[in-house]
Amino acid sequence: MALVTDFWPLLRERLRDRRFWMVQLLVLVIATAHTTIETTDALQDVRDLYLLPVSVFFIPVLYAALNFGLEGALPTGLWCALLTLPNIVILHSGAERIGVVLQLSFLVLLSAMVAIRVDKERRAKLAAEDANRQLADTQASLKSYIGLALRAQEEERFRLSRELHDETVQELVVAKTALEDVSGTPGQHARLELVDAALQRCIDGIRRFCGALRPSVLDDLGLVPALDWLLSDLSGRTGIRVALEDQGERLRLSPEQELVIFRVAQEAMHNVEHHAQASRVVVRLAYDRGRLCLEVVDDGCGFDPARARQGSLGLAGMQERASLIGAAFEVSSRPGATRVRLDLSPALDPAAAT
Amino acid sequence: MISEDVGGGVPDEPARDEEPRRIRVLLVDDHPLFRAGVRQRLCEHDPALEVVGEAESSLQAQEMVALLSPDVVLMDIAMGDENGIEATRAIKRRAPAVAVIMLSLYDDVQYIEAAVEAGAAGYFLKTVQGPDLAAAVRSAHEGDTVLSPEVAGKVFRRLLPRLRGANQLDPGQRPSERESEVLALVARGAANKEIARSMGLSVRTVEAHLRSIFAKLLVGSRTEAVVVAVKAGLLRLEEVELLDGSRD
Repeated sequence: MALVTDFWPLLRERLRDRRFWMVQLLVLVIATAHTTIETTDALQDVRDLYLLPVSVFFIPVLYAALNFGLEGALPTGLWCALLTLPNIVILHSGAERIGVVLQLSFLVLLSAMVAIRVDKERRAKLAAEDANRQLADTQASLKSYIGLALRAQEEERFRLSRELHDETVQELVVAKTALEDVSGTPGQHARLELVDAALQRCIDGIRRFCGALRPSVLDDLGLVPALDWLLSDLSGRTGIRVALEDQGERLRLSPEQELVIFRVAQEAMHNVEHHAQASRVVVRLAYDRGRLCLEVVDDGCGFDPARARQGSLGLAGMQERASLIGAAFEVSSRPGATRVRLDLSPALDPAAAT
Repeated sequence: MISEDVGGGVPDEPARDEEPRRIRVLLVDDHPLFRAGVRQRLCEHDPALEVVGEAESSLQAQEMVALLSPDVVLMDIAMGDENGIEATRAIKRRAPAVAVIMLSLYDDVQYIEAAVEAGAAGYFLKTVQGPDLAAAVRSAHEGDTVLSPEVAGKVFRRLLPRLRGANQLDPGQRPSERESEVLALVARGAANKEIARSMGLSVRTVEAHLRSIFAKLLVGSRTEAVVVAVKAGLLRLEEVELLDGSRD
């Protein structure tokens, strides 16, 4: 049933195809030639080749099967049979007739087999194309999901950091300064000193936490001071010698671009600190003809970028962040020189236009 | 919103003429309790200081400076609208005589540098003791630069590498004599072949020297090598002829 209901609309469409009718015309020509040869006295010598025209039918029928599928092949085959019918009835008898009928049957059968096969392949091809499209869609939505998740995470960190800093730390500072002039017995004084020290530790702790969440330097002062902040933090904690090189005329970047560049540099420096055993690290920010290039270079032990991509070095994360702003990300490493590089053409990024 | 104390900026003290003029202070902070604390501690420790107004945003601070012409502004950095650095810049542009002291939670040297650059006369942490803050306001009014002891240490440490020459290279990272010759030729824009010919070396040896130079200077190209070498004093600028990264 399904075959029939599927078949009719396909056939109707086929009937509108000019090529289909050309094929049917070819069948008609062959059938006419066939009958003409058999009935013309002058051509009686070649009469023994009576089976040949039927074989010639293979050309249009197989053409139809390969190009139109079952809905093209079957009508063509039947059309051949129909046109040959008078010929069989009038001009052939006995074994000849059986031979021609058998040959025609093979013709129809074979065309149907080829056509069914062709249809199957065609459906498989369509399904594969569909699956590819779906895969691409899924990948695209996954990418935009990663982008959304990263942005949401950054927004949350920003909010949290600001809230803690502007509210909680402020209150602690008010409390601490209020203790300043409170007088009392030596015992009370000692206890107040304790409270004062605890408050200071709280303030320092929360401030450090805020810096780790989202350094205010970046939002307040911009990219270059923020990179400087990262580097002085690194050298302060580890003794690694650092340098920040800032070349060329500075470009105006969007907050998101600055954030991505900062996070990539931060991640690269995290790797330097924890894996590279480096003694020096240089951060280069080069502006050149509307392009920006960030480089973090260290003289540490290096790693294999291809293997590290699956590992814990955060390279995949840096790559994701870079693609958020349409920047090219590249890592090269060998012992003594590891280089993380981010290339950005703000002109190509619609976000930079604002 | 202007605080209720604004009108009371000029107290009705009869002895006004006999005393030296009091130092007029404007407080800028988005946290009311903190402002109240500062106001109380300032006046407690130094009666010559008078808080003439309080502002809670950058914009309001600029308006009140124009309105009240204070002598000293105590300025927070993290505020709702514009940050205190930008506010300082705007205030100093319109009223250059005002001494602005940053009073912030941030002890990062980048903020201090930004504040100096914006024209601030001092930088204190919010945890500063009352007497110290009062003294700072006085000094700033007299034209001095004032710094929290905590941040002064950071600023000093920050100066160190500059004074020592941050771009100076360690002995191990200094190019050898041969490498320096190669570097000088690179700076003149010579290609490897030319360098090899003029030094009587093979191209391979020149390439090896270049690799070693790149590793020592932590650079990836000839252009960068020349730039870094000039900064480190390995090359004089006159020795550099053609900076072209295309021949890497």
